Amino acid sequence: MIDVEKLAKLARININSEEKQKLQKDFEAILGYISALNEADTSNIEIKEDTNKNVMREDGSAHEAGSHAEKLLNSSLLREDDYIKVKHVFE
Amino acid sequence: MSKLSNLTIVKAKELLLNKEISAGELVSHYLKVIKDRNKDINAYLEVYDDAASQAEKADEIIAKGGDKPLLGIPLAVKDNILIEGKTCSAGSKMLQNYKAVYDATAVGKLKEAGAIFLGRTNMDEFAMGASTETSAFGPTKNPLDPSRVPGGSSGGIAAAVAMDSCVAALGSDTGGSIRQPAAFCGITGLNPTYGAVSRNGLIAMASSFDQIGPMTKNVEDAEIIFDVIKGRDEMDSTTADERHSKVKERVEKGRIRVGILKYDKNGVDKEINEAMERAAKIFANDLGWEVAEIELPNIKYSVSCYYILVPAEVSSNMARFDGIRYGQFKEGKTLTEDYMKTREIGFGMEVRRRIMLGTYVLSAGYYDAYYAKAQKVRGLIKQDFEKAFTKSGIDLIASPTSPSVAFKIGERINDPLKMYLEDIFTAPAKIAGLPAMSIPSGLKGEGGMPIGLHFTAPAFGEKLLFEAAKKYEHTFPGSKIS
Repeated sequence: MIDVEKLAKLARININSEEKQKLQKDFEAILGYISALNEADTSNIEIKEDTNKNVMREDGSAHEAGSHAEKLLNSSLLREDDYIKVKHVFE
Repeated sequence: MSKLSNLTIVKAKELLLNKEISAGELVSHYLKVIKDRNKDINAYLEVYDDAASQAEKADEIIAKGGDKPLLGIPLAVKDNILIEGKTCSAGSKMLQNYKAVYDATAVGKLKEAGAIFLGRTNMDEFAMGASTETSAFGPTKNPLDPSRVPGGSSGGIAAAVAMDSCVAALGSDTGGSIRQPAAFCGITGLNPTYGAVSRNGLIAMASSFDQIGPMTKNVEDAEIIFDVIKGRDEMDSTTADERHSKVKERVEKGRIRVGILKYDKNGVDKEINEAMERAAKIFANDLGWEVAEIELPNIKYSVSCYYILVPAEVSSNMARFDGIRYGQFKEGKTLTEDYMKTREIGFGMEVRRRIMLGTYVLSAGYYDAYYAKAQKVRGLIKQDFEKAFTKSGIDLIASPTSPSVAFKIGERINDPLKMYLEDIFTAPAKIAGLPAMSIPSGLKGEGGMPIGLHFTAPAFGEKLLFEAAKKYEHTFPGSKIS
């Protein structure tokens, strides 16, 4: 049995009791279906750890400081001057 | 039928460059079609007010004798691809007032090529869905039968092209979101190789699956747009330059070897099975291709694998919607409550379902059983394709695009599992990162809904898809919608 309430909390989404019931039913059906994967023989498959090369650019060629700031700040509903105002992280 | 009916890129460009029409006339023609039909179909969420001025610029260039691949061509764009200064909402209340602060790389390339953007089209919320019914802005209807869905998630785009309200369009595909709506609306849709087109500026759903691709009235147009938008991009580290594929030479010689996918015919419409058999005969008898049956033993796990990996990636990608930097915000008493309330009002049911499912399969204690196992099965499915394309010497794999034709609005929306099974033929190529395309292949009965034919090629084998699909299209044009 999946603890939908705990999942909702972990996912940071409020849900009401009606939604909870519906989701409970959906998850049971979906997980029931996807459990078919257990039949697949994956003994010969190895998952390679991170095959990516470093894709970060070198320091030094950054854009001019602040050149995107105005546009980005304007996307937030919580703008105050040149800041985005948020509540305390630790209560 | 006027000379503006059912224009492809090639035909429209010919008219434009011969000065038989202007880009301005073309744009006002499409704006009229949208005005007449969109209230019933709901394909477009917004028509851009600068479409006419974009056309003016194109006309100035044409007047000076200029030419570019898409000069003066009016396109529609899916609502999850950023165009600087325009609203981009991904079909979600979360972003209903969000204005893009930069151009997606693909959009930048289309602008460079002279294209005109008419408007943005409806989609399943954050591209999660197969019917365009999960959009926060109401469902899109199939222009061929408004009681039916246009497919999804790029349903608005498919409808826009099918109702002839643009020349061509740009969609995105994660599990079938370009190809299934293309099949449902009787148009052509290309899902490019993973990494062939930059994802920069595409609102992320599942980053190891998402790709931008063209949705068009014929194969040639898909190729023209693909050639404009493809290529390595330093803003997307997963992009790569096109690699040459040996199979190209085989196509040019006309000796394609097609594998007809072996699948369980029971879960598929009878007429779709028949269309597949008819297509196999056309390959062998009319096109002279070698035809063989091909079995991919592990693709029966595709939908299971997909609905573990994709929700997992969704749960991390959607974490950015916290109400702080952009999008909706609803205040609570604490920061955590801010998040929870914002996400409650911002996300619809399917998005929540996938975020929570992803949270579950990634959580301690379940990670190995679900996520790690699905990654391994992804490896198995990739191996199946590799074997088919090498050992079995197959150039292309053909299958239906979807197990059914466009279904009725409301028929599946309350049964997520049934909706997920829509991806049964389209998900495998995504799991393996391969290019795949859906083209029209007949109708379900006379005057019935369109049926799609699906080709999958080896990585970076788009050229092969185009050549083969063009040959099929020319040999069997009876399925065209107009």
